Amino acid sequence: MSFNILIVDDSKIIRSVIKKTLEISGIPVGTIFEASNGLEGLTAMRENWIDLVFADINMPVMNGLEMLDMMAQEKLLQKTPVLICSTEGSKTRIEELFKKGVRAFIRKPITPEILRNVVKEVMGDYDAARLA
Amino acid sequence: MQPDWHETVKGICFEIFEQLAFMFGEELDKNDVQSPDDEFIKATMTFSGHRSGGMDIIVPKRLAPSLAYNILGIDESDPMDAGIAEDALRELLNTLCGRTLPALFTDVEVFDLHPPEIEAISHKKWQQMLDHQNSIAFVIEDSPILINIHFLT
Repeated sequence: MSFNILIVDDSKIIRSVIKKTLEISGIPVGTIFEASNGLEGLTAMRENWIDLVFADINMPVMNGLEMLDMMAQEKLLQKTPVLICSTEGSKTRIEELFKKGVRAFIRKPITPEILRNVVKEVMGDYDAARLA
Repeated sequence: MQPDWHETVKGICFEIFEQLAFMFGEELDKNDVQSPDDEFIKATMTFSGHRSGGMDIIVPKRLAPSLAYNILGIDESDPMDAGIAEDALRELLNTLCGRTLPALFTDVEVFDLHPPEIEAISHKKWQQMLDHQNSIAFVIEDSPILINIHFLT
């Protein structure tokens, strides 16, 4: 059983770092999709089966918060777990993210250890919920 | 805002360079800063919310590819996609700005960060930025780094 993952970040270098970290993490990864903003992310989610979304907040065209709002309106996307990777440091904003259904928050810079642990935690829960 | 904000920002810069790119910073008296480089890259980003303003970072052009190689954890002999060096500098600034604002104010206030932009600048413009009262200077891997923060509101 492997997970299809979508990385939504306007930084190509961060998408590469997340992708590389996932590939060496020991997490069973299927296909990794990439998008450079929230709008492209929504398109990727509508066209492919996605098990986990990594998203940044500050992006051009459509930011991460707007993407979460759009996902909440679509039945097929509502329950897709989202993990935010951002430089955001405001507790107020982070609370807002969790209220919108975000499953985990990683503050940049990303380290492979933190990323691996958070993904295992989120996907462990998700897998158990799917099998229940 | 903290009165000793220059030191706070410098500390965050050292930490982020180390965590993100495995590069280590050295203190440098601003009056001693020199650069033989003719070409520099400036990344600029603006923010709004609790306070509005902007943050810039200027590095010698030759440092940007090393920054990208270090972030990606690849050898300098490996091929690198076009634009990745500039992307590395943008991401570095994004991380610095995201860490700096809550440190200068509190982590309750909300700031909206806008995507960074890149431009090439001359030695003359670099010197002007160095002379600016709000600029902070330090050294990374023998390269002078300039940071500037300004507030509009």
